[in-house]
Amino acid sequence: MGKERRTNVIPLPEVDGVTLERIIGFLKIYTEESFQQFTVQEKKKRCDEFFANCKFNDFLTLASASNYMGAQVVLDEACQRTADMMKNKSVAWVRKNFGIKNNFTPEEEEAMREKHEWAYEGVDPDDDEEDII
Amino acid sequence: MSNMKQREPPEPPCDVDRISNLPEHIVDKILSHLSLRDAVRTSVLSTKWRYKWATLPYLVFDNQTVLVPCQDQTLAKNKLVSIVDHVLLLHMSPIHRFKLSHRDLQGVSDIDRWILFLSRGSLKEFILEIWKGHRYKLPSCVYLFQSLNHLELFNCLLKPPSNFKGFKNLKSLDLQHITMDQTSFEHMISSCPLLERLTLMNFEGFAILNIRCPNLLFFDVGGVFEDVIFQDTFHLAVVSIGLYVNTGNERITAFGCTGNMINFFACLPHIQRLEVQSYFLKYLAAGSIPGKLPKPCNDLSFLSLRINCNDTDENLAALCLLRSAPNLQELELLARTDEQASTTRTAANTVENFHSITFSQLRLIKIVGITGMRQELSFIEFLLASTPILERMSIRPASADGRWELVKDLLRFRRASMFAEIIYLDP
Repeated sequence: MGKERRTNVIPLPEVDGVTLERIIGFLKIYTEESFQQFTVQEKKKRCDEFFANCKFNDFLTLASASNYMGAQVVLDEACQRTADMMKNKSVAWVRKNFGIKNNFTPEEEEAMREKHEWAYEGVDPDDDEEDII
Repeated sequence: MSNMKQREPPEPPCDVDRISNLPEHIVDKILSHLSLRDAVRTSVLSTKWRYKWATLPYLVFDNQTVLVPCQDQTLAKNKLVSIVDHVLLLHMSPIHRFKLSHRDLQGVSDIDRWILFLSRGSLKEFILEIWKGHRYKLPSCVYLFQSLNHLELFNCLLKPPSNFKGFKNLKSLDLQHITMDQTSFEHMISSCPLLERLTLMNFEGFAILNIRCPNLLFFDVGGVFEDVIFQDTFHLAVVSIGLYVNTGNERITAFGCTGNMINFFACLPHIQRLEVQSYFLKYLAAGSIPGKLPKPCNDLSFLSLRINCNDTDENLAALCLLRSAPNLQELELLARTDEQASTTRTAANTVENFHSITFSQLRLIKIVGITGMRQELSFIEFLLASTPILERMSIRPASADGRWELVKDLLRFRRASMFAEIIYLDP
């Protein structure tokens, strides 16, 4: 995108400035020839560096925005990283950190848990002091 | 991402739920990166999430997906079986991808039942890996998966029924540690018209690889076989073949009067990458070896050869191939120094045959496992002298013995390319 002149502004109501910068920044890295030559591990490391400052909701915003703009690679990364944050975490943890309101009655919830008892084994214990990054 | 130190105040929990209202395909994408356990647990997050996991189009049951920490084998197996039954029953939408690869799984009758269930749907990818026990005999309903475009089997016995018409949509087939008879194998390969990728590793029951596949692009084989015959494989671009048995001094009978070399390449006009592994070069060397192939492999840009430089036949076969690859960019020579040289041919010293080649495109050479024998050094000397645009040659010998002698020779050899780097790598 070149310098914006008043007559050439493209409004993007779905996307805020910070997110747009991130999307463009990532696409720039992704399309660099040196990046394409990296091994899988090197690519991952580079992407990890790029997204180091992002929090959960940043990824969700990124997912929405990149979906709207059709930036598939950014969408893929945002979804992968959101999933990485959720891995093996308890239901309570996910609710708390993603702001999901539990609208099950206690009985319903109990029944749901019993239905899939096996899925609740071996989940990471919640650490209340743990910072969410 | 690092966790902040505990001293700093924790982030306030999130107030706004943005994830639950994301478009369905984005939530699916996020769930697709989670194991089945994690995905199933989302069902209790809120009523909105109750069925999101159950409409995912794939199911993966492996050791990461399903944690069944049980000391007792039978108990572990039973638990796994009940989980799979449970999930299949509660799943609510068409399943496109099904993978079962759990190390505790042994009972065959359960797998039969699941395959029967899946055969009623429109499964596109089926992956089954049996880690314990004998070859699992696939039930006949597996041959009814007409929408299948990827099939991957490990440790299975295939016996298609006589009225099996092939997998009409299959693009990718990966069979490892399988047993199948010769007729069934040929019939399956030739009745999958869209097949693009074929992988065969460690197979029993058939020894002639008759590959008639007009759309095949990728072929990777490693096992014990007598012959490999390509027919109509004009698009085949990537081939990797390993023959795991040393045919020793008995000549492999080459059918007809042309040798294996010519027969093999006759139907591979567009090959781009070729890996000749284990003893396959010996196979290619059977029968008569021409100076070069009747039609050159103009598209061949990468060649990897497992070669015994002491063996004259293998040297001649390698030279024939090198002479027939004018556009080769990358070459890999992996030395095999096993048995004594078998010279069934009274050929002139092969070094003299070297002088007629120039590799105008060859930039990278990798040599591994040499022991500093005269024949090996001759090969290296020849390569350095005939590669005018060589950028890099790396050499990793089999052992540190005699490394100084080797390095002295390498320093001495003339190089056709003034940009060439020769890199000695420690064994």
